[in-house]
Amino acid sequence: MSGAGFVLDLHRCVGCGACVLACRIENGRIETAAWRRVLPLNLRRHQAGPTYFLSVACHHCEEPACLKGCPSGAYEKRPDGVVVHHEERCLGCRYCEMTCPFATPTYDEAKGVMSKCHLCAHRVDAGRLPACVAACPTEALQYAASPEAQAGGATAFVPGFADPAGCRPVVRFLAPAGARRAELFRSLEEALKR
Amino acid sequence: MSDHAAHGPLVAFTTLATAGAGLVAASACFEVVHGLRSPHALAAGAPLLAAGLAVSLRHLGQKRRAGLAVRGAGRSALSNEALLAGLALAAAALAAGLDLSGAHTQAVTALAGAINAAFLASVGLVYHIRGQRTWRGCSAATPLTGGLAFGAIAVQSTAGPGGVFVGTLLLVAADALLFSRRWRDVAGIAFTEATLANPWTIRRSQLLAARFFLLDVIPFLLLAASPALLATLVAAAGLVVDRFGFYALALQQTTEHEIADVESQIAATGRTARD
Repeated sequence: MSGAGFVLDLHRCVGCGACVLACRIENGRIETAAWRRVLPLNLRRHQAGPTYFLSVACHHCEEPACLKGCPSGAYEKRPDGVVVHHEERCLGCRYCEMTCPFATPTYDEAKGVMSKCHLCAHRVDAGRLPACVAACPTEALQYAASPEAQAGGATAFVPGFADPAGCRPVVRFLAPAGARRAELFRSLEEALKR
Repeated sequence: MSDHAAHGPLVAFTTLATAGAGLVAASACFEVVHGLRSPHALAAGAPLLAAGLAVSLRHLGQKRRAGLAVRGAGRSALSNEALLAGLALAAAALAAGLDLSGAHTQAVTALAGAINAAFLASVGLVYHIRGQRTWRGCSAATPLTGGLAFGAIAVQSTAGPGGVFVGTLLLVAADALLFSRRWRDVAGIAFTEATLANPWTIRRSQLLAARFFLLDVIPFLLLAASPALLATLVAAAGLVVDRFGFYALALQQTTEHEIADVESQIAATGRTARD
């Protein structure tokens, strides 16, 4: 069974960016690169495809490329599956930025080290939800101790998400609902398979 | 890594280290196989490697923690490279030192050559990254073949025409073959509008061609005409272009790029439907 991670409901996410702001405030990242991004797909609402938003941060992969590649052992996968980065061991070589297929770790110029989402481990350990999840007004972004087991009908891959085959990201997606959006989503999936 | 300015120290490090290790490995190879000693090439290897390692520190955000780079040896390709770089430098310095002091030992030179060749291979393996679209396939072997080709050209240009010419031909041909496959792989990538925002991606054909001709074709033709230092200088320029092009053409398959790809497909589907 996979470890802790996020479930994103593509039908509910409206791309408001509250998750990004909450993450910035909780982790003191007001003026530095954000750990979470909201990426719109087909924002111009082209009729041949669905429009949705991918709110993405670290996917706390089952086989993290950052952890495997880090020369100084700055990454650690906790027993609950959360991948944490220890700044005090980081060389600032930026190799994890290259190896992560999602380019998740970000370089902190001021400190000269990398940093990334730790799934608000301090909040989770205290029995609270990660800041981004708690701030989501539509409950599109959810936290699960095991997204794979918990999110029924969820999928590991949606169009627009980078190829997850290499490191098995724990994030799961719920496809857009509603007759028209669901049909556009399915036809896009089919088109990409071809 | 998308910031091209951050690649400067990496280009300098890999160029100097590849040249240095290539000189040591090729010198050792020619000495063992052909009995040809190249004291100048062997002596130049260690300083080039040392300079490369010194420059590589510049890309670290925390230079004082550089010693931690070998903690992941066996797990991390970068740690393996750092460990082998240290060993390669020590072995190259020992071989050159013995040579200069008149206590030359072929076994030590051969060992230094083998360690330096292993270091060249490790440089390529660092960049064998699934998510980097232009670094797949044969790209991982090009630091090894490029370094050996440069070393062979340098040794040949100081040795004059003789038996080693066939060895040089083989090493240069191996590099040309592998690099032509990398060229084909990069040319085969379907670049989208978003990925073409990188100006070097637009000039990828010129960049790859410059590397191919400067490191393989022109030096070999110069050597075939008459062994001269010019061939080494041209090959050195080719090595610089090789390492620069390697980083300049880096193309990480991020979610942002994936979305751009999907959006262009959606747009294309819409156009087809209207047609």
